[in-house]
Parts: sequence; structure tokens; C-alpha cells
Amino acid sequence: MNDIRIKNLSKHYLDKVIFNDVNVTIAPMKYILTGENGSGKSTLLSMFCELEKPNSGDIKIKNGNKNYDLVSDRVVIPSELKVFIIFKMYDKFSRSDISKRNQLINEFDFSQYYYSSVNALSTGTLQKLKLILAFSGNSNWLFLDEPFNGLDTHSIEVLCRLITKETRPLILVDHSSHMEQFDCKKIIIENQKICIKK
Amino acid sequence: MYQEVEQSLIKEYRKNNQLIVKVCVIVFVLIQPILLVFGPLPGYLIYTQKVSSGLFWLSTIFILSLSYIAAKIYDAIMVKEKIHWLTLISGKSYLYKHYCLGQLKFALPSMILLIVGLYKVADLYHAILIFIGILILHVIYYIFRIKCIFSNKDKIKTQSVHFNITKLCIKPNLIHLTFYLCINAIYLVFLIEGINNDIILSITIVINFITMPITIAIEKNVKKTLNQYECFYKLVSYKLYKQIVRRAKCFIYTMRLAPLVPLLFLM
Repeated sequence: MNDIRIKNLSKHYLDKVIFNDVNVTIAPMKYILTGENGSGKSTLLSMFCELEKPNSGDIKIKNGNKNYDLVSDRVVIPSELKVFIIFKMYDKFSRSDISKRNQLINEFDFSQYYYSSVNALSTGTLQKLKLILAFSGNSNWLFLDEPFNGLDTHSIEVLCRLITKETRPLILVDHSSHMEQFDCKKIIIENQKICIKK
Repeated sequence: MYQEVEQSLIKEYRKNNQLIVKVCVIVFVLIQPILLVFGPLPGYLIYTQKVSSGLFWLSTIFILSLSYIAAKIYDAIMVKEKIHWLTLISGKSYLYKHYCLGQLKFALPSMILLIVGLYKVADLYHAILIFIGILILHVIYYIFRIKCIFSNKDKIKTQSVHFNITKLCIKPNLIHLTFYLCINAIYLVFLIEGINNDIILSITIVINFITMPITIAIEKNVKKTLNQYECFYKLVSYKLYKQIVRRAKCFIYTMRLAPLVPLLFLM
């Protein structure tokens, strides 16, 4: 289906080796991506999204690498855009399910920001916007890099519920205690290799 | 407090736009003889011509355009987000007062042109009254601007997706573009005058020499904006990202080649 196939992947920053000749196939299901700080979790997600290139080898998502939703600090939304313009952009390219988005806007209590500019949003509210866009998206994969950052208690509860209910395959990176409640397989980055464990 | 913030923001702006500052200085030096001869003319015409006269309006539009460009540059430097906190510490009236003074400092070229225009005016009293009138007009405009900037109304100008994206790329380059267009407009005037081929060739070389750094600066800014938002555009649609990159390239190539077009007529 939408397997992620990693072939002979190597990645290094200057003299620091992050991945060394990694070969693995990730089947479409829910995963928690773990590893020490600086082990390459965010780099791996960035490579899945073609935001970074491996030094050698390749990563292929069946049905195309270009179909994913991502919540990450790396997603910089133009600060001058209004929230509703961003929604319009997604609609123009048929990237989201409008009814699901409206439902998420209600759940995250986001309706008051509909006509606001992105630069008027606080860190937590901006994170909510990214989550609304990602969870209402219609891509094959969902990548969440530290999605709990900046969220209030209510929003954390909503997000936990969303992750549990999500039917699309997803990869979640986080170090918070909320991770314990999810029954997911684990992708572990250890000694420059990637392994999948239950 | 405001002055310190203003100085640091101007310093930051200069650092980020070194090229355009250098080009401005070069152009300013080059047009010195023209300024010395024609500098007093706009002010003089405003003071001496009747309101119904075309020359009066031409001079007024010239002075006001100069002030408007200066105001836009000042607004581009004094970003709302970076000065808004001053209202919390010192109050709105403090910010408004210093904003107006700052704007007036930037409108100094217009003011100097108006002041030198006073020289040789027969009815000096009448001319000074007009000058004060223009000064008051400037201050009213600045108060109106600062009120608009700090009003919390989120005005919706347009809903067009492509317009909003284009605006994102163009806004940081507005000053460069204005400058580029001004230089090319002058260039066009020279060409329309029907001067001979040798002069066209030499003017083209000079114009290209001036516009090249501006184009390079714009290219750099556009690339920076694209890199910054790459992930977001790709998330919306890979097609959109490709479209934006293609358009940005077209825009840059057009800017690079436009001043060379007259050379085709020499062949």
C-alpha cells in the first residue's frame, strides 16, 4: 500500500553520522518514533517530506513522496496570511476535508481566529492551526513532530483523542508523558540504524 | 526609548539591505549636478504657480510622491510587531509623537526641496504659509498612518490565494522594485528623446550597472522567502510550490533582461 521504503540510506552533518546504510520498510500504521536527542528523529521526518536530502540512498513512499501532512516547527506559515486564506489555499488544491476541518475548529475552540493574521496567533494557537490543517488533510501519511508543544490541557486532550481515532498511518515524535497512552509500534533510532519494535 | 529602537531597526535594515543602500548612495552622488540645478524648482513652482496651473500640480505630486516613498520606507523599517510593546510601557501618545518625528526625519529630502524653493520667491510670507500647510498635511498623514497601523481591525483586502502569495514575495522587495522602476522610467525617457545609438549603448551600460545589484538583492530576498516557506507550500501542494518557484524565476529573469531590451533595436 503506502509503505515507506528506505534503501541504503546514509546521512551525516559534517563529521557527525546520523544514519549509516539503513535499509527498512515501514508498513502503513501508527508509530512512535523514539531515540535520544540528536539521534535524527526530526531529520528522518524531514527526509520523508523531502525537505532534506540523504547523502546517499533513497526514501520512497509508494504513491508518491509528495502526499503527507506534517506538524513540525519546520513548517513556517507566512505570518501575513490570514487564517481563512490558508484554509482557502488548502481547499483550492483539494487538500482537506472541509467538514472535518470545521469539526476540528470547534473542538480546538479556534473559530475566533478565523479572520486573524498568522502573526497575531500565540505559539499554542499557531500549533492548533497546524494540527487542524494536518488532521483535516487527506494525505496518505501523517507526521507529527512534537505536536504537544505549546498546547493547553484541553487541546492536549483533544489531540490525544484525535491521534487515537486517526485512521491514516502516522509517525509521532515526542518525549512527553502523553505518549504512554498510545498503543503504537515503535520506530527506534539507535547506533545510526532504524529498527521497528512492538 | 523610541530613538534607541528606531536606531537599532535602521541598523538592522541597513545590514539586511546593504546593496540597495550602496546603490542609493551612488545614484545620489551621480545626480548631484541635476539636484543642484533643478532642486529648487518643485518648491518654487508650488509657491509661485496658481492652483489651476499644471506645473503646480506636477510639482506637488512630485514632492508628495517623494514623501510617500519615504513614509513607506520608514514603515518597512519600523515594523509594527517590533514597536508595539512601546505603547505598553510609554503609552500611545508617546509612540504617536515619536513616530511622527521619525517620519518627518525621513521626509527631510522633500522638506529640503521645499525650503530651497523659498529662495528667490517674491512673496515670502505667502510661500512660508504654503510650506507650513504642506508640513501640517504631512503630520496629519502620519497620524492617520500610525492609527491605521495600530487599529486592531483585521481588514480583508482580497481573498485571492495567488494574490496573497505574490504579495508575500513582493512586499519585502517593494523598495527595491520602486527604485528599479524609477531608474528604468528615467531610462525610458532618455530613449524616447531619440538620442543616437552610441548614447543609448552607454546609457544601457550605466543603467545595467545600477540595476544589476538591485536585481541581485531582489533575487536573494525572493530565494530567502521561498526557502523559509518551502515546507508550507509543499504541504499545501507540491504543484503550488513548483508554480511559485517557476514564477519567481520568470520574474527575476524579466528584471535582469528588461534593461537590455533597447539593445535589440541597435542591431
